[in-house]
Amino acid sequence: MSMAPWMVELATAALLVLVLLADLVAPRGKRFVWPTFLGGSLVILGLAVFVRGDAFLLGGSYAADGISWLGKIVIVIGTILAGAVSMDSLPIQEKYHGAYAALLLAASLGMMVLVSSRELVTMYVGLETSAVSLYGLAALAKRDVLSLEAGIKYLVIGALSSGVLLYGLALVYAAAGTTSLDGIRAALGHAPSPLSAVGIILVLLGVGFKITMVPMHVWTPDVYQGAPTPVSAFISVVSKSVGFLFAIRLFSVAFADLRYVWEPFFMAGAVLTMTVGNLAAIAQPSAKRLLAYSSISQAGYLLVGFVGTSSAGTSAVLFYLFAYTLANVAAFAAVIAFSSSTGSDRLDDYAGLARRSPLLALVFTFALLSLAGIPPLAGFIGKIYLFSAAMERGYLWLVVAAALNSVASLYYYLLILRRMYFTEAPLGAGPLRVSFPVKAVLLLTTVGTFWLGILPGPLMQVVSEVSSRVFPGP
Amino acid sequence: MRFPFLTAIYCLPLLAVLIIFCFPARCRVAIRMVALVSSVAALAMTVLLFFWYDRVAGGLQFVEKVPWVSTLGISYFVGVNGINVILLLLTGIIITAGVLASWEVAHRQKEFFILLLTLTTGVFGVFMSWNLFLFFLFYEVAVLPMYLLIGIWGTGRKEYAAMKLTLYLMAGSALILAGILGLYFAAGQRSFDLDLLEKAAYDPVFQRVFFPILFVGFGILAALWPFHTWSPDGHASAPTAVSMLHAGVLMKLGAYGCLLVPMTLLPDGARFWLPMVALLSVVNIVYGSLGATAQKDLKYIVAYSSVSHMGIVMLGLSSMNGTGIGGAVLQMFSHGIMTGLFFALVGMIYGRTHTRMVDEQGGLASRIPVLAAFFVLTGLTSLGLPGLSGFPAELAVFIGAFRAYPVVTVVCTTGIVITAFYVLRLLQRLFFGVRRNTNGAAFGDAKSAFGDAKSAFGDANTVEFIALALLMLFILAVGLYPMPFVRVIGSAVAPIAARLGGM
Repeated sequence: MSMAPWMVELATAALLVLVLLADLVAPRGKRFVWPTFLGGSLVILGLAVFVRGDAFLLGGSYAADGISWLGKIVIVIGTILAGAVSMDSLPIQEKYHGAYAALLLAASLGMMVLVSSRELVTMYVGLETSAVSLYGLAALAKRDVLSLEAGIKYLVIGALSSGVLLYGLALVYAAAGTTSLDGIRAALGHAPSPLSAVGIILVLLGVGFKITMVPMHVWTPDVYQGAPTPVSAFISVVSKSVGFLFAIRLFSVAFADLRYVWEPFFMAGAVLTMTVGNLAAIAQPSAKRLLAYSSISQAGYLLVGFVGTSSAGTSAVLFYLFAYTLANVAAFAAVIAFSSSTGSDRLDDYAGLARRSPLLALVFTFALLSLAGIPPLAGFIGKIYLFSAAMERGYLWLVVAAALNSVASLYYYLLILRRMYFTEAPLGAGPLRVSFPVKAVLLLTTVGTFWLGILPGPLMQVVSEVSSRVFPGP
Repeated sequence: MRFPFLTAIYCLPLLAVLIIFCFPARCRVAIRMVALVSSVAALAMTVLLFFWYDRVAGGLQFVEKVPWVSTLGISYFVGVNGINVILLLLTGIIITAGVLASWEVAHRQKEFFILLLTLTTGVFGVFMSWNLFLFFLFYEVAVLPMYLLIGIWGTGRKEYAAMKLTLYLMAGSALILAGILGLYFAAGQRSFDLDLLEKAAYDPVFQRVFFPILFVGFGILAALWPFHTWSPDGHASAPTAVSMLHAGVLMKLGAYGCLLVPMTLLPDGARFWLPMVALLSVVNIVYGSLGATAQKDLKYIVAYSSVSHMGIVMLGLSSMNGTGIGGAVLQMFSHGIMTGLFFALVGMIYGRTHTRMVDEQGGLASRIPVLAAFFVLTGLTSLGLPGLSGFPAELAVFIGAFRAYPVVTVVCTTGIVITAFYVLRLLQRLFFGVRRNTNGAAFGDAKSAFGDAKSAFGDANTVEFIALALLMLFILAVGLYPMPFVRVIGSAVAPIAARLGGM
């Protein structure tokens, strides 16, 4: 058995051990932890991008295919960016930095397993590995009441939804008699039994927790607000992207022939998710809560992609995940830059930011506009790709609803712009000091957002090639 | 490879944006010189385009086509037909005059010119795109900078107006996006290229469903009643150059979109729905001119008159024959320049009297004779006096529309009477009548304490004069010798009219 398909997972596990060792060498400082973390993850990113061999392992229950390849790339990129913005801005004592970096790696390792599995039990193991690490990360600032509250809420609701998911998976297993995704597809056939139908809906609810689909989204604002901001960025970007890949594996592969069972729920979920997210975001006074609701609405747009055909929809979802990752990390990095310099998370304190730190305001503007889907940024072409997948199947009403929702989201993004550009800064407010790693993240994500927006061709070719290989035929 | 002439046109303002971005904000003179040079160069190129375009051959010329995102059938495809030539020329004129009119902008001047020129890039791009994706991309680029331009440099309820305008226009673009995607899949060509989409045969039911979606989407930007309410607020709150660009060019972009996409691609839908549009445009014309009669604020008067004149454009489009549509395009050009002049003049008068209220000023003709002369000529264009550009355009629209909808057209002509009434009354009050001071008191009253009348203001300075003369030149050109314009437009309108079944 060749090691190549496992390389990224093995390297991540090795780096996890290395980070713990570095922490051991210099127990009270972060001097060794972060260089090890960043250097190691960059190597892993190289591996994730360049090592690509399609292979099925462990009797087909573990795969190195296009989806796991792209999934791992998103995970590693997200982990690096989250790590980079954490370095100087974590509200925790220095001696916990090692534990923090290790938990970040453990979470991403679990997610890598999740996106590569083609079998229910392996999937669940990967899911729980990442979930448990994330609970720890959310509660890491243990002197901070909000962070503790976030951790507890995340744990309780997460455990509940894991239970729902597991119950659903059990029913699906009972109906199909196998845990392999291909086996399930063959066994369930085209006609649902009551057992499998209930199972599929419970699975959707369980997955809905990960991807913040209404009504499973209630934890999101509190957790995003309470958790240390880099952790919120990580959860909102990486954990959510992985949730969507998980949903692709389950719904577009295993339950593909029972599309008419779950598709209405996806459509209703898409419209509800974006509408609830957008309406709730309008009145938020806190930047992190606003980004939480905005990321809920983004999940709504992504759900639209599932309504498209397996191949077109999946490639649109994959493309949008990249666009969303870049824009959302940039937005969170801007919030981190602001709050670590001023100590405030209130949107009203962003008044006059354009005069205080013009570049930071500009980068934040680009991130928000990309989330709103304004050209020539990545979010624009990503949304068109997603909506076209639904249009291809003739769902005009869904496309109109989604496009109008983008307009509604523009409203609260513009309210932030209004504060930054129209209002005068309070007296005595000087320019902000932004640390180098945060600057680098802001720069990279902004360049990436423009690049994907102006030259989307190469990535689009890759995602459509990947999904046409995973879903052969029309 | 041939020189990419069209790309160069919109790259000029884009280049200026990048150059200005690198300048420190204190280089005020350099910043406005860069803006001016780029817009004059763009104007020169659009004038060349107007002369170099082969109006005998007609059709699409100066084509540049490169594949861009082949997975989705998106290509970089620009070209011009007769209508585009006219509208690009209009954009070049208005932006040059707009930069001159913003010569004295002092507050955050660097950002102002960056946004103004970004907007111009988008408008130029829209008027030359022949791929619907590219078209939509430029369209959005043109709409968004408006939010900041009005919100930062505007007056009055600027934040409300900016938000209202942006959300209205973006709601329109949401409909446009849905419509464009619908066309893309219905044509089944896997391409956004307009020439391919034009050849596809669309199902009549599909046409009837998608025509209103697209038409309303673009119609919002053209201030089609009842979707016009953003326009008076937006125009009245915007700074001078932005009002000029918005009323002068962006509203035309909506009408152009109506003509280019739903009317050309969906002729069956057009035949079904355009009579309805003719009815709406009656409301536009009559209601707009009544609104202008009732307003007391100069900018609101001009804004409502825009609503009324855009109604004439919509009436021309809905006539479905070559005369009416050609007249509508000429009216877009004429009204674009005329309203640019109006807003420029209102801005200049406000800069002197510090009030936009009609009641608070009077007798200005003796104090600012040059501005007054320009204003009178513009007003006469607005009411359609022969010899000025409004006349041939409106005449063609009404002749074309009368053939299609006689009764409706007769009702619309009352709009012209009302326009004549409010324009003449406005001219009389502003420039003739009793001389007043800035505080509204009649000149020589006890209230006007001392000498502020003499010292406060003089007539148009050189920069202002150049801006106004540039605009007036084209009003006279179209008014006195409209044939070159009519021929260029006609070469592009005839095929559309033929598709719609009228001649």
